[in-house]
Amino acid sequence: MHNNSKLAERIRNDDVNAFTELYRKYHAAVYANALKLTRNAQVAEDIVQEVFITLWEKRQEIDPKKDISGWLFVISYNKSINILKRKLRETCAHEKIKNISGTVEVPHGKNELLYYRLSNLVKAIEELSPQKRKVFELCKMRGKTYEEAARELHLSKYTVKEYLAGAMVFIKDYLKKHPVQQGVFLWIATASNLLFHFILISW
Amino acid sequence: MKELEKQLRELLEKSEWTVEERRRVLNYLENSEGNELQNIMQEHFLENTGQENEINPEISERLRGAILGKN
Repeated sequence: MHNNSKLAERIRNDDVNAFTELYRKYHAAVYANALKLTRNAQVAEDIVQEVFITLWEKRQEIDPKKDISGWLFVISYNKSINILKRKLRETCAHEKIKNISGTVEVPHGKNELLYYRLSNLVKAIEELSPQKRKVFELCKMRGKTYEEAARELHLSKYTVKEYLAGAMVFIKDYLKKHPVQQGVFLWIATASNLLFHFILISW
Repeated sequence: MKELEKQLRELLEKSEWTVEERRRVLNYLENSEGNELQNIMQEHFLENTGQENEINPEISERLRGAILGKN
């Protein structure tokens, strides 16, 4: 605690080394808690990033008399719980719909492959952390520039670029890990890409 | 109270939750103060404080660089 109050004091004075020290000491705890609650490594990494960005941005507001580990716990806990709640609400709502409508009807024939590709893509987007999803939606689905997205989300342009790069890597990785189990026909793939872009633009 | 905490601990240890378990957790989060869960997670936070290996060191450095790169 004594050491933490010194670190807090140093961070208030823009000491990057103090920030690094705090990061090294607590990032694993923030990550472990976020992972335990959200059950998603990608989301947990994002929470670590968001928590420490907030710490650095709000360094002038830190009270060295209060233990900074408590602040880190509360911020990361609240972020994780909000994500967990959202995820549970979505899955519970999905279950309800399934119960009401019986089995989900999957289209047949040519549209089947397209259906699975789009379902995978939607699932990948749903798995993104809230911030990355917002950035992805703004830049890739609504065609906003980095600057516009940064203004709208009150983030720096650098952070928007980071989030978007992370989102793209995650989606590509997700689609690789969840391949469509059908034979792939080039023309269907092309058609689905075109339709996907159409859906994204009109979303 | 202790029983609830025990149930929450068991749920957190599971890698997958059933539909019923998901409903129970959501119901708990939406209809209580969530003190039991907060206590468990506080313990977990303390246990992991100072640990080095939770995040891949490469990722950890990338994140740190991204945070400090803003300035």
